[in-house]
Amino acid sequence: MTRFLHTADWQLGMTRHYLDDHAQGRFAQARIDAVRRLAELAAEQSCAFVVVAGDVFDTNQPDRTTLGRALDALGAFTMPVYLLPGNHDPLDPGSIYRTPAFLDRCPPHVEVIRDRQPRHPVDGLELVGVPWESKHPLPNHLADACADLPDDGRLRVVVGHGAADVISGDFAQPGTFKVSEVEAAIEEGRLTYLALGDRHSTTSVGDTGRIFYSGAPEPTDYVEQDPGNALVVDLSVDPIDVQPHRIGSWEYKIVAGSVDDDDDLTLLFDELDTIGEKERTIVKVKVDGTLTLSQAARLEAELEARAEVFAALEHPERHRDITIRPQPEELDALPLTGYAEVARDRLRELAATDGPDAEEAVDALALLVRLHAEVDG
Amino acid sequence: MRIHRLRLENVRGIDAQQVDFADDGVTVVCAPNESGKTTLVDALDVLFTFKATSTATKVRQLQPMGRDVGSTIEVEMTCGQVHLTCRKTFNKDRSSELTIHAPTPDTFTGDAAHDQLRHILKGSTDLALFEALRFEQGRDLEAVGLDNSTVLAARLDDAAGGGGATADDALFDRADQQRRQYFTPTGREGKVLIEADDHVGDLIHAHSEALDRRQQVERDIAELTRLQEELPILQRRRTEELHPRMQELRDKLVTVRNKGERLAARVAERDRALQAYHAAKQLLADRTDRAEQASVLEKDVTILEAELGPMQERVDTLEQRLAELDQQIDAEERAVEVARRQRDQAELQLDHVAATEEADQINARLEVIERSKQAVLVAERSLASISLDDQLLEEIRTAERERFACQAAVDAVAPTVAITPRTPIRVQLDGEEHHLHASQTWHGAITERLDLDIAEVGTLAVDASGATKDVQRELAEAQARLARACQSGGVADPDEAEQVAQLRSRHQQDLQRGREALQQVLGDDDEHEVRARLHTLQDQIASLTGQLETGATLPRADAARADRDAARRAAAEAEQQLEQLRTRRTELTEDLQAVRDRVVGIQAHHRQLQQRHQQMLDGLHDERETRSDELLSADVAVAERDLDTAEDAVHQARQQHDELEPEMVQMLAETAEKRLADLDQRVEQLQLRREGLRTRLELAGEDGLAQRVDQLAASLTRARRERDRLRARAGAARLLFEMLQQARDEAYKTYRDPLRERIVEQARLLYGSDDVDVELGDQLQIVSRTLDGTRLEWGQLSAGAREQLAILSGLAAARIAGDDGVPFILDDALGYTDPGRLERLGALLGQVSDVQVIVLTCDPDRFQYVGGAHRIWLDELRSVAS
Repeated sequence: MTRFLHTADWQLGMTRHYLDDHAQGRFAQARIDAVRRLAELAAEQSCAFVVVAGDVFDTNQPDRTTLGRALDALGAFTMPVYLLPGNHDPLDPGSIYRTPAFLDRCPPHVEVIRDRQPRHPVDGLELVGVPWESKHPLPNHLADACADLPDDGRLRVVVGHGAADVISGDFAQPGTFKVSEVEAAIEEGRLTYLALGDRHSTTSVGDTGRIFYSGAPEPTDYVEQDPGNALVVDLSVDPIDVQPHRIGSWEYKIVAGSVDDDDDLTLLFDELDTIGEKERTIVKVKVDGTLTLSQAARLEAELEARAEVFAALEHPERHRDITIRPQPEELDALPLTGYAEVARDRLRELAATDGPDAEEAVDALALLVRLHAEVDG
Repeated sequence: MRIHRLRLENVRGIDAQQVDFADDGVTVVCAPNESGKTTLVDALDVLFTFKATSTATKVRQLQPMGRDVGSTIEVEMTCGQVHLTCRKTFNKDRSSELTIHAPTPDTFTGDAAHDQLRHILKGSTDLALFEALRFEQGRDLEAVGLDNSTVLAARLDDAAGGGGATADDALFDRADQQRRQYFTPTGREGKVLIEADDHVGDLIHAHSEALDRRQQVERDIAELTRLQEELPILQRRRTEELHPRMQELRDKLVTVRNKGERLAARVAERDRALQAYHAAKQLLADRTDRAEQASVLEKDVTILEAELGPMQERVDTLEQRLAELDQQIDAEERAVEVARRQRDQAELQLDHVAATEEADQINARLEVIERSKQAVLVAERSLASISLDDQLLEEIRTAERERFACQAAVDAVAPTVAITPRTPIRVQLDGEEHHLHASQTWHGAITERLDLDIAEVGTLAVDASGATKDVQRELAEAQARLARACQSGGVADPDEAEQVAQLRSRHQQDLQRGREALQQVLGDDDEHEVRARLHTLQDQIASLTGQLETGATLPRADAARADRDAARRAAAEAEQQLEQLRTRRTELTEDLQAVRDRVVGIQAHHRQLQQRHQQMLDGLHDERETRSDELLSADVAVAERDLDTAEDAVHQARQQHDELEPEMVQMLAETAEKRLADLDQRVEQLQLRREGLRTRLELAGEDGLAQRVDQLAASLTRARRERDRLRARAGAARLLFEMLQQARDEAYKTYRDPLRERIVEQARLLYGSDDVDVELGDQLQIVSRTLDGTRLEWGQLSAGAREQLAILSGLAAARIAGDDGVPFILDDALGYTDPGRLERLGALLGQVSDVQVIVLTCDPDRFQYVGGAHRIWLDELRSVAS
């Protein structure tokens, strides 16, 4: 049996500031649920073992709930599971993997890769892990580890964590390795497959078809391109077979564009409304443009109404992303007389300046429009 | 609005009334109290407000008490351009009818009539002003606010040049409400902003704390990592560096110790050779010393023998001189004996003379003593015979003075009788016969009854007065006291008392002199002691007489003293001479003894030296027999060579020892020991520290600290975002409100001025003063009045002043409103105004021609000064109506 499940970057315990408490709870639970789905997938795919290529936990000090649920979910696997300490949960002296809370409750089929000694999850296959022992390892440690392996042509899976230079473009970063050197080691028969973690998007690295980032099983940020997968790797065929399987249930989405009139706003709202499974979707409305008072009020009101539906709906920043320009006609249309009219005109003058009070004056005018509408019935 | 006519039927207590009002100027409706004046105004309200079908309380109250009839109100008026008549019957037989006369005649009934009326009123009449310009006594004593009037506001705005205060205040209030969501009425930040800041602050604090703890964990991890790297290094250093070095130094120490022991052995050998060398040298030196000593002893013996001869000659000379001196001493001792005896006789003579002189002096003193004692005895006896002392004498003198005083009083108060016969007569006075010559006058004081018997003439009794008797009695008492005092003193009268006193004084002086003499002669001595001294002297004289040589003539005291002194000097000189001789003998004896001792000593020393010299010669002889002086010198040379050999061996051994730097090797070894100990201690400390850090990190790892930090950071970001949004909203609300408030304040100030000027214009006429001003509030109500420089708040003004100013304010408002205005209704007004002001106010009202003024009063006199007013008496109207 030379099929195994390659996953990474579970980031259990991750917190996101744009999620309110309720959504944060569901977000955290979704990651636990993903682990259970990985167990189901591994069983369905008859995987002989599972490698988690780093960052099982988002930090080395997750809370008890996170740890307890993670260990409980790990219990769902029916085959050996190898956890590699990554840069978020390095095997430093403060590592979660050294705590009694972890050690006492860790299921017996789960092993933390604490050194580079070969493991043999199945006959004829050697598993070598390159754990992070601190947050700041030397660059190319992973390639060096591959180069140190014997060139015996043995079926060997290396589990590593870090950025590939061809992707990150910054070799100086801790943990970054040179893909070319790993590819050379593959060519020399030192390893068969490099199971990578760190990049949350599922990615094939280089040209060998043997170096892969599995990606995170649940997305963690807007910038990720293809998160939410796990890879089933079959080494028994040539070339080896690497198949992504969908695991994630959450989605990050950026709704971008420019809004300069009511039509633009209507399109924006329509786009938001077409998004499915909103309760598990985190949306950033990344629009810019120039709006009138009433349009800005409409934008805020409509977004506020939809914010309750989405897991999170990040608004464009008033006066930063959106420029609000009170239009003469919308202010002149107010049937104001006397001092109210005088006050309105003064606010309008203030809003037209470049001073620091201009934004507040715009907001005051918007409020004036709203209050007048309320009074006027 | 102009009300032309109002008709009421069956409304409260009014059966039927109709009032026709003047379109412009003043209509005064006169009616007694409780006749229904106020009902006229109330009826207008009901007509304008309620449908005929209404069952509202105000509607039901129209119905006359106890009569089930419909109440009808009918008004004819002009509202804007519309001239109309409206008639409504309430409560029973309800109906509504609106007849529009102009501009387009029309008629409405039922609810349509009501609705149309409301429509016309709303479009043309400022109902708020209609409400404000109804002056009802009591209510209007408070400042009337006119701010709700749109017509007035528009007129004032026009008067002020436009651009002002007619904005809807509801917007302002709404803005204020909005502001107050975030700020207090005084502008401070409100609870919602404070709570938002507090929330952010709490999260910052919590996040900072958690972050600190996490950073501590990071530091612990870094330290533990370093420890884990350092410990193996230290252990390697121990095994690979310090321990071999330690072994090397220990080996060196062993070598050093061996070399040291070798050196010590060589040194011991050298010491032994040195000892042998010294011993040989000592033997040779001892031999030489003893030979030299024997030679010296021989010389000393010769010297002593040379000294003994002169010493013996000296002894002989001294013994001869001593014998001569003994002879001189015997002669001198005899001379001293003679001088001493002569000195003792001179002493006895002097003592005898002195004793005799002292005995003579004592005898003379004893005679003086006897005389003085006799004088004292006589004086004491004389004094003992006199009983009058100083106290009695003073009593007698006092009694005498009192008697004289009493006698003077008697003489002063007692009548006197003077008898001067022309011929000699014989008279008996109190039985005592007196013969008086011719022209001889007898004077008598009458101190008691006086019986005067004049022969051949008769008897005359003269009695003393009461006062005379009293002083007479006091005189008798004084005399008695004098007599008693004299008796006590043993004298017959005061004169004798004075004489006895003088005698006693003389005796006392004698006594004193006797005692003083006795004291003088005795001094501090006692008489018996003096006599005892006399006896002693007499015995001494007798004894001295017996000791003196027979036939000696006693010289006088001075000569005896001179003889004694001369004898003393002679004896002393003899004794001194003898002493000098004896001293010389002692010195000579000592010199002799010293010389004899010296001779004995030299002789003994000579014998000793001779003996020692011989012994030494014998000893040297024996030693040289055993080992000659030459052999001893050869022994010294051999020992010296041995010593040089041993010194070379020591030098060689020391050089080998010192080449190893034993002290440095020892120091290095000790330092290495310490370094090893320090390293072991350091390793132990680091191991302990490592275990502590591990424990802490295990606890931290289970504490969820990092996740907690992330959660707090996320919460903080959200809270800051919410707070910033809140603050933006609050800032906008405050800015809007402040802008509105600023503009309103400016507008109000501008548009209050026309109304204020109109009120002031009327007030100048009312008060007859140009120095009048009023201040208006936000609601266009009068808040103060300034008259002739004195400013009073509204509440400080008198009721009359407030009443007058309220009417002026309403009148000004009505006139400013003009044709779009409403009637100014005064109901029972001017009750507080004095006649003087009534006349001026009446004149003011009389000048009004552009406003409809309706006055309802029970006291027509109050409005008698309103010139040209249309006056209606209610009774008259009633009859007309009926």
